[in-house]
Amino acid sequence: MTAVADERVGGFGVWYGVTAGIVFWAAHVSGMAVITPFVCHSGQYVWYHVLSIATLAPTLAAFLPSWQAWRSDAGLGGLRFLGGMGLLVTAVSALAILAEWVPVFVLDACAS
Amino acid sequence: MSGIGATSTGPVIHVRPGRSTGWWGVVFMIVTESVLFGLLLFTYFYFRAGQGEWPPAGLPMPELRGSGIRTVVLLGSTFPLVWAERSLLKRGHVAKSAVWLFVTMAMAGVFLIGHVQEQFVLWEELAPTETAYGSVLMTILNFHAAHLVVGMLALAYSAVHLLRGRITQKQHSMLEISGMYWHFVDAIWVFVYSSLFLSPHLLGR
Repeated sequence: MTAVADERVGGFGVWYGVTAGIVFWAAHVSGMAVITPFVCHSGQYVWYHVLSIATLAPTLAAFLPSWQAWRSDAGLGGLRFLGGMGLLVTAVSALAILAEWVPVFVLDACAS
Repeated sequence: MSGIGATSTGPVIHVRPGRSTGWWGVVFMIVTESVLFGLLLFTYFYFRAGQGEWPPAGLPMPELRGSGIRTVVLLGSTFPLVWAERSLLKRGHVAKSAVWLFVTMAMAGVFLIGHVQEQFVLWEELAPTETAYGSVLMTILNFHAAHLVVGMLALAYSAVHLLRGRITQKQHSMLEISGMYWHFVDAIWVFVYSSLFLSPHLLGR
């Protein structure tokens, strides 16, 4: 294994790529649960879509710094590792948000 | 089972038993945030495995005295929180419960002040944008601090609602879920402290 710890690993952007997906996934999954009483009381299902878009957009934005990190480092170094992990985590998180969002279109969250 | 039934005296609303959606929201958040910290600690150990010396030569070992004191303060904050919950749920003492919540927040404040002071020192010593060690260390510590701030805000929200009579002995889910989140932040710190501060000393350079 190469001496990855000696390499530059970049600043905020690459860490945004690694962490943003899970943070916004957490915000989505907990937010969906928290707003359900309000949505069911008011009948305004649009808030599910607002929350989903508000968390999916910054999650997808995390692809960019991760892709740049993945491309910028030729060897299997620290930056490339973070970039690759950021791509994977962002993809999984985006899929998780979509998986939690899609049922809103077909199921009634307020059905008893 | 929820639903609305009719009797001769009017409709009867059957309340669905079980946990509130807020409780489930925090449980989901704890699960996903645990994944986040697991990922960050995995990154730390990945970098470490690729390096002969850890911390890399020329960089200081993590200091144990100040961080140890802060650890005791943070983990100790669990006790006033438990007392706050017990004061309200078992005895119905609202004021006493609020006081214990403020004690919990004060202890968290002490931890946070120490964290900020530590960040100034680390920023000088580690150059986090230059080395993998400094970068991953600062990221994990600041992520934990961010979670701590969220926990403090949740406790402050609970304390205010407690004093305004919106959290009572019978209706206390907000206090319960903010407490759950706080215990999560405490538990995560055990892993963070063990990995970032203790392990370099225990395993050697």
